Order: sequence, then C-alpha cells, then structure tokens
Amino acid sequence: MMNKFLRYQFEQYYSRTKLFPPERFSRREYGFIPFGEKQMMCRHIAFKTVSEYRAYLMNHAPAHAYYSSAFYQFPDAKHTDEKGWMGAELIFDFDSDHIENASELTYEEQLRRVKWECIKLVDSFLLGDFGFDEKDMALYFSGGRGYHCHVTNPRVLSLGSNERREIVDYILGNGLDEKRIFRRRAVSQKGRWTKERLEMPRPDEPGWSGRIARAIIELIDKIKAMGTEEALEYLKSFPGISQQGAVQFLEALTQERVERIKQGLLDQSPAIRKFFLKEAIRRSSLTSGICRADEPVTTDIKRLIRLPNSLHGKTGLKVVRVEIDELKDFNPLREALAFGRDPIKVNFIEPLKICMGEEKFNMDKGPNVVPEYLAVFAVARRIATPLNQF
Amino acid sequence: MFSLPTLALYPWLKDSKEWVRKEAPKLEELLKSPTYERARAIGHERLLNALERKDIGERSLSTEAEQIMELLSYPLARMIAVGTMDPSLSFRYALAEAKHASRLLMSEPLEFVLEMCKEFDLDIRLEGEKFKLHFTDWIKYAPTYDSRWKLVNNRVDGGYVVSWKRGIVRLLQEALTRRISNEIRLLAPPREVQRVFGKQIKEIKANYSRPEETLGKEGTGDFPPCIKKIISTVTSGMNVSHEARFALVTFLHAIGKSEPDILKHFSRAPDFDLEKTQYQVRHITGDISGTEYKPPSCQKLKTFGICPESEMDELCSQVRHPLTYYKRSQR
Repeated sequence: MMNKFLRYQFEQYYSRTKLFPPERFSRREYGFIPFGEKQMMCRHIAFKTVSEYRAYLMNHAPAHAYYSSAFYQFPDAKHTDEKGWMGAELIFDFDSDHIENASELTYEEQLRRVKWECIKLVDSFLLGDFGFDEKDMALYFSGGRGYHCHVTNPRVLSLGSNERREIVDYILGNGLDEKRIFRRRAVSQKGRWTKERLEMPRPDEPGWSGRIARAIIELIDKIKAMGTEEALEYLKSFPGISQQGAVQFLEALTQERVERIKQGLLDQSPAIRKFFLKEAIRRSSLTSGICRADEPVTTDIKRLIRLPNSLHGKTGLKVVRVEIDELKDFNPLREALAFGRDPIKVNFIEPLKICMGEEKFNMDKGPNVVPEYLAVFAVARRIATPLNQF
Repeated sequence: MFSLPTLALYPWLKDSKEWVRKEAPKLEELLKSPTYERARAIGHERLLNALERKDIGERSLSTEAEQIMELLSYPLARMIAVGTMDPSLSFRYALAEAKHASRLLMSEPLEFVLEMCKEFDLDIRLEGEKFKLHFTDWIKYAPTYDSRWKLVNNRVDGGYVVSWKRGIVRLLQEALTRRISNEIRLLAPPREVQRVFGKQIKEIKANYSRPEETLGKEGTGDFPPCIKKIISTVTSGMNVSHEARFALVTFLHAIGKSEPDILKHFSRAPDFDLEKTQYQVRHITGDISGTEYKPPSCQKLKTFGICPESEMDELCSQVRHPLTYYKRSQR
C-alpha cells in the first residue's frame, strides 16, 4: 500500500515536471530501482533524446534514480569494460550514515553536521588548496541524508583511480608526515652539540602547514579557556598522555609559552607534539566517516550516483542543486520539497516533530490531514501509512 | 625546433621524431645500407646497455655525423626491443631511456627543464628557482607510493604544487617511461627487423628474458584482488612500488610460502637482482632483521594506492585485512 501510494505520487511529480537531464546526458549510464521489496537495480540504461529520458521517468516512476559520474562511448553496453570510458567527474559523497552516534541525532541535526563537512571541503580544499573556481563544481543535496559534490573541471576528468585516491588522502590528511610540518632548526652550536629547536609553520602558510598551525593555535586557546580540572581530563583522554604529563604540560603552558608557540616555537615533549599534530589533523581534515573515503566513492571512476532532480524513495525529497554561496543557509526541508500543499490524510504510526516548508508540525500518533509534501515524506520514511484509496 | 645536438641527446622529443620523419632514409636503407652501419650498432648497444646497466649509455656527439647516427639509433633500438616480443624487455628498455634522460636533465638549466615539461603538456611555471606544477599533473606522475611524494606532504597552493628541479626531473622520468613504453606497445615489428637483427634478438632473449612458466603454478585463486594484481603486474614485467613489493612478500610469507617460492614471483621484474631481492625478502621475513613483518591492512593498502578498488569483490567488503580474505576464501 505504501509503495502504491508513493509510486502514484512520484508518477505525478515526473509527469508535471519538465526534467532537464544532466550535462552530456547521452554519454551517461543510468540505473533505476523500482518501488517494491528487495528490488534489484536495472543498470546499463542510456538515453539518446531528452523526450526519451523524460518518458522513461514518467512511465517507470522509480523509487531511486542514478546516473554515472563517468562518460562513455557506449553507456548501454552490458559490461563495464565494453563501455569505453571517456572520463569521469570527481565526486565527494557526504552522508550522515557515517556520523558517529547518528541515531542519537534528529534528521535535521544530522543534515546540519554533514553540511559543515561539505562546506569545509569546498572552502578549505576545493576553492583553497586546489584552486578550483566555483564554476568548476556542482553541489547537490542527495535527497536523503547528505550532499554530493561534483568537480567538473576538465583537468580532473581523466584522473584514474589511484590519482583520485591521492586527493582523498590529501583531504583526510592520510599519511601526513610530522617531519614535513614541524621543522628542526639549529639555533646554536657548541663543539659537537647542536642545539635544535622545533618550529611550527606560520598560520598563514598555504596548504597543510598553515592548516595545522591554525588548528594548534585554536586548540591551545581552547585548553586555556578550560578550568584546570577540565583541561587535565581533556588532555588525559588522548593516548600517550599520562596524569603527570598532562600536569606538566598545563604548568608549562604559561601565557609567555603560549605566545612563543603562536610565534612558531614548539618545544614540547614528543607526546605533546604527537597530540598536537593528531588533534590538529583531526580538526582540520574532513572526517573520514562523513566523507566516506573508506568506501570507494571518490576513487571509483565508474560509480553511479543520484540523478539530479529525481526523487529519493526514502524521503520523497528532490535531489537539488545547491549554489555554493547558498550552502550555508540551505535547508533541505524547505528547498528540496517536490510536492505541494494539497491536504492528504495519512495515519501516523509514530509521533513526529518536524519543521518542513515554513511550517512547524507536531503530529501525534493516529490519522491526520497534512500537506502533501509531509504526507509523502512521512510515508516514505515509514512513519505513516496512507489512507483513503490506497 | 631544437638544434641537432639536442635532438641527438633527447631522441624521444616530438621534434626529434619530426626530424627523423623528414630527414631519415627509407626503412629499407636504414636497415641495410652500409652508410647506417653505425646507427644500427648504436641501436643494438642502447638496448644491451639498458638491460645490462639500466642506462642506455653515452657516446661522443662532437660531429654532425655522430649526432645523426645517435638520433637514428633510437628508432632502431625500439625496433629491436619490439622484435624480442617480450614486453618486459621493452619496459626495461623504456625505463633505462628515461633514467638516462633524467640524468642528463639534471645538468641542464632550469629553463630547459621547463621546456621539457611543455613537451608533456604539463601545466607548469618557473618562479625564480622554484617550479609550480598543477596538482593534477603532480598526482599523475609523482611516485606517490613514497611518502615524500604524496600530495599531502607537499606544499599545495591555489592548485599548484611547489617543487624544485630534482622533483620535476623525477616526474619527467616517469612521464617519459610511460610515453616510451606506450609507444613501443603499439609498435608492430617490421618483418625486415627480424631478418637484419635476428641474431642479436636471439642473443638478447637468451641472456635477458626471464621465463614465465615457473610462476604462480600453485594458483592464486584464493588470493585477494590486491595481491593478485601485484602478482600480475610483477609477472608482466612492470615495475611495482616498494609498498606493493612489501605487501606481496609479507603476504606470501604469512601464508607459509618458502623463500624460493617468494623469489620466483619477482624474477620478471624489470629491475630484478637476485641477491638484492633475496636480501630484502630475508629482511622482511625476519631471517636477518629479527623482525617478522606482517602484511599491511586494507586501510594501509588503500593509502598507498595498492588496493584495486574497482576490482574489490563481495568478500573484500567484509574484511579489513588481506590475510582474513585469504583465510575466509579457503573455507
């Protein structure tokens, strides 16, 4: 019943919307999952004309629609090897599935967390270190619980899997070498003994050096702002730092010392240094969990991803393009709605508190009349069942 | 266009090919005429040096005649290499050409190195002593299996990696190895070559080809895709990274393979040296170092770009270590 209801609604959406296919759409492979339990994906589909493309979506009204980030000579060839790979966009996939303790957060909070990671990628790495332009990328809300970032600059299209892995390692800070960040400098020489000191990069340096320096300074300010007890507990929570080590570190962290560190002099014990580096990387890299670097999304050059402007079968929300300067204020529960306000009666299985469109809803269990967009959302999320003709 | 002495030193340049196309005699003449006896001898020498000393060697280039013979010897050397019908020999030859070129480039002025980068369509500029290379070019050619070359350990600013002459020359070496081996792979040896160089080709194959039949007889069916991939790369005579070698040796050792069994996998590597490899294998297996190294985890393999992520299978997604994969697939 739920599937029948959703399929009907999706059909309505696909017939009233003039869908514009993605760039170079005839070179892409498409895949669709129909409504129903345990449905398999139909892959290796290609379209030659826009009307063919629209008709397919209208007639099939799939629960999930995907297309390839790659361009192919023969996108409908049954074997990937026979497709004739011509290049692929560089994709970053942010999904709240991978946030720690995601289940304790509400849907809205999860979306907010993921958005921050996405902003970090775009501002700090893509526009910053990699020097891309805003027009080189396209951001999409995935319709579910995350965002996709497509880099479309011609330079990245031909990159192979290993090369993309280098990019992932870069944004995650994987394999970062301490010796490349903190530099030893000889300050004086006495016979055979050279006195060395360890220098931290300047916060305005480009790339990882400056990023680490900024994060360390932030970290020190954070510790200085804590009470002694709190700071001790915080420090001890890191491996390799003992009670004694934490006490010594805090004692040594005088205002004068803090100034010295900010000027770039990092004469600390190895354990403290390790702590600084690890924490700084953790704070300034993308969190691997959310960026899904462990899953071959970015490095897979033949992957299927959600089709722009299609609907997500588990939310009824639309996969929509988000302009970069609008990302900070983007609210999927307002901007990704695909359905209108017509009243529909559904039966809530669970209570639901949510802000959708411009309205706040506080639904109790039981039947209720709600706007269409909320009805589709609640049914798709399996917290309500349709009533009436379905 | 570069001058003739430069073309002779760098015969793989587009300009050099252009010169050969315009000025060189017909193939028939090049292969048979006594005039080009010297070019044919150098061609043979290039390949022999490559296989024997990993460098194609240097010859006097003081007269124009010497320069022309040197330049013409390059296409001849390639024909002989292809004539062996052994891709691993061709690859070793390409590597030796590239290494020789990188040695020469180190003593050239910075502007010349910059000029060479244009040859490979690299997006690069020179600012004082420093080069700035676009990061997408960097990750294409840098040996990133070595931590120093990883993008994360280099200064990346506004899309460009800051590097020095030595770094850029190393990248050019990689770009050149790929260019030459790709070109050679597409060549079909003219039948004439077999007739003219038949004796030399036979000798080269007898002395330098490494037999394939002793390899991987026991079957690698239960091995994870990453290890299979390393084995197939090594046995096809291509170079693999230190990390990949390390992964292969530790893996084979961990599943109980003997030293000779491990060694024979490497016997076709382009830079195979029995004693050196033996030493390295013994070091890794703990025979001489006292430390028995364990195979790296999936996470590590991914970081070093060894995990062939597009070839991952069902079982891969369930395990975090190649050994677990092997144990499970044996059940």
